Amino acid sequence: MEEQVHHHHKESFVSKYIFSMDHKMISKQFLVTAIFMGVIGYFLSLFFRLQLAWPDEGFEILNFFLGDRWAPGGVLDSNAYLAMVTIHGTIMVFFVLTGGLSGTFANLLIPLQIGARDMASGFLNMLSYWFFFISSVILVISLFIESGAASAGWTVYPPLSALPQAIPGSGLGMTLWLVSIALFIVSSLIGGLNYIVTILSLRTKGMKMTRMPLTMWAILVTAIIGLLSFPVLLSAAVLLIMDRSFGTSFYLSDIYIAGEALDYIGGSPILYEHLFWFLGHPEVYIILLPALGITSEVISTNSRKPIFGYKAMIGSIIAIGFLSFIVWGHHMFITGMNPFLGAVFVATTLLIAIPSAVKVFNYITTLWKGSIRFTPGMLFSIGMVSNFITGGVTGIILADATLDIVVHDTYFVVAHFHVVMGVAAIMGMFAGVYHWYPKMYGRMMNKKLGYVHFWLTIIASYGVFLPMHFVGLAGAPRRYYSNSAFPMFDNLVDLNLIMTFMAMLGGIGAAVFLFNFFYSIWKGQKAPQNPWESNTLEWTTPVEHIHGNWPGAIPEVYRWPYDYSKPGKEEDFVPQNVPLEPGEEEH
Amino acid sequence: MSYISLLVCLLVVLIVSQLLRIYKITSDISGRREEDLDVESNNRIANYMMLFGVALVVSFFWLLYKYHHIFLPEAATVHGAKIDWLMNYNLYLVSIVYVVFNLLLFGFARKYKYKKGVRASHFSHSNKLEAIWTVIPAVVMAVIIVAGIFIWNEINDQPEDPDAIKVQLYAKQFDWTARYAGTDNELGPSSFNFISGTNPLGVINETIYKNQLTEVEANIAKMKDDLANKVMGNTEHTELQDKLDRLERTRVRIYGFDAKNDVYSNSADDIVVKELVLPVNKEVDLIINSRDVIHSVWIPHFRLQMNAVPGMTTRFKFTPTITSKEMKAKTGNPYFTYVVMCNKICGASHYNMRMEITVVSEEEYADWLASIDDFSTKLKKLTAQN
Ligand code: HEM
Ligand SMILES: [Cu+2]
Ligand SMILES: [Cu+2]
Repeated sequence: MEEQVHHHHKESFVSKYIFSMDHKMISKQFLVTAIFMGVIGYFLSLFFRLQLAWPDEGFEILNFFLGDRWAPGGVLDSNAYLAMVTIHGTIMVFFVLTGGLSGTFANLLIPLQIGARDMASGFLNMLSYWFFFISSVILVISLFIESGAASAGWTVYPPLSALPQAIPGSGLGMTLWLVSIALFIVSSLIGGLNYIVTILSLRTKGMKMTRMPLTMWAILVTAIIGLLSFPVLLSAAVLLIMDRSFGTSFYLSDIYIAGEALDYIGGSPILYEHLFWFLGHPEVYIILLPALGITSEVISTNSRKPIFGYKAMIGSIIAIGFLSFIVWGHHMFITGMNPFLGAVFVATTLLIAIPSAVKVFNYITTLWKGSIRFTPGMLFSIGMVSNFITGGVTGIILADATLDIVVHDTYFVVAHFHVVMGVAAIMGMFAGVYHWYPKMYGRMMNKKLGYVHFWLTIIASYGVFLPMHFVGLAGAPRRYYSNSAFPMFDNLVDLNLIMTFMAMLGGIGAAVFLFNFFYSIWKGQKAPQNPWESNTLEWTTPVEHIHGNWPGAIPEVYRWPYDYSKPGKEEDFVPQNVPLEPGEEEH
Repeated sequence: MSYISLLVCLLVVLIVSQLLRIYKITSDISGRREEDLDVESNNRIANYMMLFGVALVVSFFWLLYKYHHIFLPEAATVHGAKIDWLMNYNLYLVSIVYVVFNLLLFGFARKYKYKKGVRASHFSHSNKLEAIWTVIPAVVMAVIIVAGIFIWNEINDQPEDPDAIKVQLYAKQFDWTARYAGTDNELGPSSFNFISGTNPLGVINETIYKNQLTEVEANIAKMKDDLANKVMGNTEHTELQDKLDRLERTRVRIYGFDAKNDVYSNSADDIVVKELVLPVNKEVDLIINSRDVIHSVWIPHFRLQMNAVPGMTTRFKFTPTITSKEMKAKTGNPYFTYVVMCNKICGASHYNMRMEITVVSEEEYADWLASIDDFSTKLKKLTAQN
């Protein structure tokens, strides 16, 4: 183990803040970029929620932002509607909850929690961020082009996504989307590889795998899932590019559009769906696992109790990681797939509910007989678990192919995945930000504003998505610009209004967060070294960031990270670097 | 207006930052720190937690009470009733789990808040408990899987009735066309190479084969002529050349079909329409195709959904059980109609792809069928016109 102190050398602004190879700085870069993308994603959703609540009414604000091309007279154009939906989904799923969440917390926490001076490769780490940055920029630029951004839904199924004749967004907009996603995948792969190598090979002395915090386990498994599934999306994207630009027929066949028969023969759009969801389902766990990891850490610390069933938690993470590769077909029950195959996917999908349920039980039992301190991070963690429960149970309905016939592609699905993946993961992310802000910026965020943010967020998010289940059960299809063609949906007006108002409320909550976040960077109270009285190694580093993280030797680890309220100890926490006393059981 | 809102935002930010400054100054004076535990506020939040948990459950039941009328009415098909039965049990189960576990979560948050002098327990695992709560969900899931798969297999089986009415539902941007198989109950062959303004489904028979070939030849000749003699820009030229190339390849593909074939006569009695009329209590074998992008047949009242995928055929069989007239009475809505909608994003007018369905008695159905020209008659009239 490397023991010497890294000496400080003077750094230029550029090498410190821009092309930094320090994991702590890169983590902040990821976070700020993700916040920026999140704001754009939120506004896009606000735009289309306005249209859903008040179809065909003009809004000055829409015209102000989108101009006469996309919102003539303030009424959102129907192509623009689809573009907004598509880019909103893409930003939230990939840029905020994948790149942002993993990028921020994997980078910040891996070296600090396992006791390493930095990531295995600082250079690759920097590269990972810059690929992410460039892909974000390209996606944002695609919103401003003449023919419109990609509009085929975030899943970009061909032929719609392959033929500009089918929808204008499938021209240049789709090309930019594909380029952006390809770069994004490169960023994820480089990042993931680095995370895995670092966790496996740079742990400090005594940091056995079974002494790692659950955040590390979650991030490790996430990175492995990403490494195995993202390449499949990349190949799906490459084949789509070939079909679009080089006349191949991987996904297309027998098409007559815009007055002429096209040449494609023998391809199948269903092939694309298989490739897409082979990534797509693992992707939802790529999003969720880090959030679950953060939650485990925050709940245990603030309940002053060991996380319940540490080994079972690790087991569930691994089981979920494995099972997530064999359930993708549940997104395709009604594509006309072989019914026997459908039945197999029903079984595998319901299997994955078991480790998910185990995790929920374990969180709830962790609270049991705890001594709970309601920090903002803790509130968001509890909110995260609540959403995981609420969204998980609707998954049981969707997983049943028979029932999926009546809810597939309705708002019920939209509600399900927003609750279980969107809100749950974003709450996990907020929990992480509040909890580790002192580590990132050396200052505390304002607690009161944190509470306001939490209550607004949880009320608004349930306010949007609880009614949305009902809209789905009424049979309302998703991705409809307006329900005007179907009088049977006239009675959804109320709920659509409620949902839009709640979405605005959520925006206010987010604004409170943004204010608190940026205000505290400069004006927050100076952080103490271990504000939450936590056991993990990151709280043994100095508040002031230094290269190499620890000024002296890297601490050695003697115990698991969950020695909270251990009997026979004076304090209700025992950091991992405190040696066992003679005769003390490990746990 | 935009400037005013901008101004308001700025003002709010300013006010909040001033408030925070005051907050910070008082904190500094009193020595209060962000990470300190403020027992009073901690207790308050614990109560809010419980309150929120209860509110969550109450608002769920309130929504259920206030908005259950928006749910789809009774299923109007045989398989739909079975789906509804399963759905109801699943919804009960899911609602119970939702209520119980959210209450436990927020309730524990309230109950086990920090109390002075009470130390948390060090309870960190229990193999017995963990085994129990692995096995329970496993058993519940097993029951759900089995119940679901029985119905799933039934729905996906071959039609029971060998004479089930064959109807093709054909999707394109942005409408539906239906084709009944007629008295022989066989659909004539079709291909996208034969689609034209008068033949939207690309049905093939001898006449159409000839006409299509003539038309394609004529178009090719015209394009070649244009390319040679018309003045046009570079891009226009390339585009036309590409179009010509595609048309020539279409011609090659048309040559690949037989000019004459016995099966072509199957289409003679087919009926092509823009609405669906179906007899009650008679099985229908729906054959689903698309000519351009993926669409999806979604008939909520029939509990029927199936993708329409270009280049392949999907099917869905069903038996309507309630006539439109009966449904009007049941729902108390004189304007009630069954409808097909599109449920896979397919372009700008995705939300507008609508086709009406009327379920009628056997006799009414026969009358309706008789009142519409079949394919060969329509074709003859068309040829006579030209
Ligand atoms: C408790 C276990 C879960 C089950 C059984 C389940 C099941 C399903 C099923 C069957 C669908 C497809 C529905 C359809 O398209 O009609 C679906 C959709 C989805 N699920 Fe889950 N899910 C579960 C948990 C999760 C979790 C934990 C996440 C996220 C981390 C998630 C994210 C999604 C997403 C994003 C979709 C929508 C895809 C789309 O159509 O665009 N699910 N889920
Ligand atoms: Cu999935
Ligand atoms: Cu459609």
